[in-house]
Amino acid sequence: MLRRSLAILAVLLLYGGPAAAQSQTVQSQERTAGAGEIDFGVRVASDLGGIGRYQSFSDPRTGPTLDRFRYTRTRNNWIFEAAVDHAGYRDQRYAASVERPGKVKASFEWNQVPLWYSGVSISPFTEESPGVFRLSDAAQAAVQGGSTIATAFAGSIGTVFDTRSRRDIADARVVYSATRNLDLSASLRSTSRTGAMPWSASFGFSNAIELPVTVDTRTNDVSTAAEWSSGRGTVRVAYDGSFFANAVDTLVWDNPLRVTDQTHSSAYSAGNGSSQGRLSLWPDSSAHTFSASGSANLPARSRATAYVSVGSWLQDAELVPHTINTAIQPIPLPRDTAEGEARIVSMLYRVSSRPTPTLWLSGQYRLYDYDNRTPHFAVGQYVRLDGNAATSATGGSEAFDLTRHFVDLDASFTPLRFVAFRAGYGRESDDRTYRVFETTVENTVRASVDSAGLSWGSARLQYDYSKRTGDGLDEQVLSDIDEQVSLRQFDISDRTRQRVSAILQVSPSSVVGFNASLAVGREKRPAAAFGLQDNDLTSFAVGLDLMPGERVNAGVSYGFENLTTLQRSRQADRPPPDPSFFDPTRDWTTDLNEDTHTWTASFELPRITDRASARFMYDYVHSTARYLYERAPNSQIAAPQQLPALANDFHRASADVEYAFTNRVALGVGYRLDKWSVDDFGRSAATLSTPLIPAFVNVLYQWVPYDIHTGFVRLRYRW
Amino acid sequence: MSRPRFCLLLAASVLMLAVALKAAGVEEVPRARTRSDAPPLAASPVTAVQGASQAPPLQYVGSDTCLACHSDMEKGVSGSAHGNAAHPRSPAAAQGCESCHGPGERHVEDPTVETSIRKFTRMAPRDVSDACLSCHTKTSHGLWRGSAHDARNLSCVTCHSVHEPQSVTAQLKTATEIETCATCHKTQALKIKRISHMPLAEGKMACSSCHSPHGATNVKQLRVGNWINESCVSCHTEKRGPFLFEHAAGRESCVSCHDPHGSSNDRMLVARVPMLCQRCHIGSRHPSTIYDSGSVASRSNRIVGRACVNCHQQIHGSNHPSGQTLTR
Repeated sequence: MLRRSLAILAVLLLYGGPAAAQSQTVQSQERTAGAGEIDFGVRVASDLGGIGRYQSFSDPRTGPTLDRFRYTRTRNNWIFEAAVDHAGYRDQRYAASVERPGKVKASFEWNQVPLWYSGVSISPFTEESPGVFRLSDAAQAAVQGGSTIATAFAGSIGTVFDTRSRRDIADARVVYSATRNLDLSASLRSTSRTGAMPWSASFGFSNAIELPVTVDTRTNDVSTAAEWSSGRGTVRVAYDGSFFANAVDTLVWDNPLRVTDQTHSSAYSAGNGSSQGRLSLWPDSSAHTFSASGSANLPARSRATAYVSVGSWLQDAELVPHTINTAIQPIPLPRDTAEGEARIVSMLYRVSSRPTPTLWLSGQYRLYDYDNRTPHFAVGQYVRLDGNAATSATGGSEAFDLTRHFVDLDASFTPLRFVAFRAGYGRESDDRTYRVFETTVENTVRASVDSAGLSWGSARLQYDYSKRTGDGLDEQVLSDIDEQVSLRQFDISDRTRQRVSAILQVSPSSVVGFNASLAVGREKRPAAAFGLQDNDLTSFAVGLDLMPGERVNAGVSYGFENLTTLQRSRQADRPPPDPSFFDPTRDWTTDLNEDTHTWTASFELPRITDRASARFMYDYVHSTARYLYERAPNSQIAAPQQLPALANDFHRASADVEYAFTNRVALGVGYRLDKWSVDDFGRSAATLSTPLIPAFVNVLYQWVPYDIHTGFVRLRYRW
Repeated sequence: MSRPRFCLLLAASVLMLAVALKAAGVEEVPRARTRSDAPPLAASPVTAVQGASQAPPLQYVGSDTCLACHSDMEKGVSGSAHGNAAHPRSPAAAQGCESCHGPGERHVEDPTVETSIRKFTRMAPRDVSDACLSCHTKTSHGLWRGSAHDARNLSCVTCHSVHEPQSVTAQLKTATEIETCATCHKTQALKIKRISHMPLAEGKMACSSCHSPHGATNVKQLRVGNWINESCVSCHTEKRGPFLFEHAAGRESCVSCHDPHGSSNDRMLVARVPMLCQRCHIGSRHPSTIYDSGSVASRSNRIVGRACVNCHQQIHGSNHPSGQTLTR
């Protein structure tokens, strides 16, 4: 609180007050002008307690506020702007820019974005050093000796802490217009992310561990570009570099089930195995991209555009040994560093033309080639979950390559000034390595009718039909990893898709506006014996806006979305040749049915009186989802107990009333309600009730319902 | 991609760039600098009249003349970049109102003739865009023609208003950028309101943080990168790789599993885990087993918490020598 108050005070003092700005009389009024706004006050929020999620991306705590400061000053053709948001809080933002229009513009921004996971975290682990989490040896020994986790670690549970991280983003940019047509630009963006996040770490199938792993990363992005443009065309060359560094690139943690190292064939289950684990966190990496583009205006109101980009992604982090388990004979590494490298070539060629006022044509070809040059990392033997050595099914790494070719051809005919009929064709042809299909081709035909610019509103309708087929089927890549060979992974499987979308906006007068939209999508994967088969979406929204006069604005809208999917699986006890792997009576399906209703309402009274205004807002999202299991006829698997429905109810309401004492000074009072209730079998407080569930040591990253009331009083001054 | 193929395509690119430089003789839209310049855009009402009559160039009348009748139009322009005469590329530095609306001579003579001056609300959308693009040639504006919005017959004034802007920046027709985009993209805009979302409602991002509405070289009008994943990892840099071991679906596309516009599932996943993972992983034992209420009651680590990711925590890629199943 003290720090926040001091930060706010500092901003106010640095600003020097509006009187100082007004006293500027050195320059004439024509050459010097300043304007601004400051908004400060007090906010009171009901007890935030352990509510983590509510504080994601914002900092709603009780305290003095300087929520908004804006200042603009023009002097001798220079424009200076400054902005402050939420000073002193975790979501604060400071920005400043200076510009001589048409010549140079420089800007700087400091922006903080908090991210919360849990405000009720608790853990038996202590962080010995960044990324190294330890448990009491005595407690570990007790569990190894037969005690339960809950009993052994009951005395080791520490105090409640927050699991949260924050991005601090510094962004500096400059654009210099060397000539009327030539711009040179440069930018530097540095993003640090610090804090902690829940991270899973496991020793075997029956055991899960969640840790508040330390996050300490920085990404520096550098961009430079030169762009020449005129009515004739443009030419642009650019370099973009990105450098990611992680100060904590390895996670080491104790096994709550063991205090001594051990290995044998079952060492990765039931708590046998290593006394500690080690995994690799995000490695340092860099990316470099050089790009050049050009476009030219051609006769018949045509324009040709070309873009080429050549880039490389590099990652050469030092590799850790296969295991930290001293009971396992070390396995030699084929190399000491990752030697990760991908070359990326991307191109776009586009020609669009309007040979007549009513005909518009466009054609484009796009290439994206991701060439993963990371050398094969041969793995004969590897270590499963630090528990025991095993033979690799794949023999090592598989560097996925992708090459995508897109062709799009569109024609639009506008027989009426505001109505366009469009027909188009698209083809995406993709080549891949290490996937079940070597190539997939998706052909799409589309048609649309668009009216825009009409005095009464607009109407849009589009229909797409696409069909994707794979070629070069290689079921061996599935059998190598003991997957059902008739599985078709949904991201590349044969698919037909139909989509219809429609939008209608009607404004018969300036008083009333009506809008409606509809989107329907249907996906079928008939060739997939296993995996995702159907994926259907139906969505519509309607809205009404009323503006009966300057004193009242109101709007309501309702949106509905239904998502249904069907996926098919087979419950096999063992990989082939086990008979259960081939037994169709062990098939089962999951049928997802998710409905989401969204209501929004706003009511504004911009002029209750000449001095008073009010604004009321309400958003409500109600979402339910049900996963329904069904078995094949004469099923050999046990009848499932159906899962409970998932539900989300998310309310946000606010009321904001302002009274202006003068044209410059106004007093505002407001109230905000944020309420969330949730039923989620995986993340609910009931499911993750304690940090020491027998097979699950967690940090209580829960979905905690909340009901927060916030009130504020603020003073706004404009000059 | 093979080297010859690459070279061929690179050569084609260079050729295209050369065309751009060579195209000096094809100035599509002359900027109105002198009183004798013809108004731009052959399809515009003004030029249509001119072309029909073969009359001498129309004369500019000056902004003061315009404002004598249209004084209410000044409010949105003054204080904006359009109204800043110090900006050498602004309309105010050229012919003022007539920089965009064309010479006003004929309109002054007879305002009742609809074609006497360029009225953007009565022009075909692509004619409107052509007028704006005569000056807005830089950055993503240069990619407007042939873009998804251009293909759907949108124009600059579909989203922007020069004279009655409602937003603080960008002269949008609505108070915020999200509201402008939501005019058509309702489905996406409603998803932003769900519990798992990007920080748009909190004001830390906007639609244009990811998308470039004027056009882009990436798919989906994404502002950065050359493929969906490149846009995502421009912020989520730690997931960029390439890693020693990768998740094929992740390398294919981030949106295979995540919905960037919002979701009711944790981490903006398109479906609940483990069901999402079970769409592709159908082998034996744990990936292909039904996890039901009994599994929840027993706190099975296959369905509670992060489910499959309780063990396969490096789902976006592993750099561990034993990380082939993304568990280390």
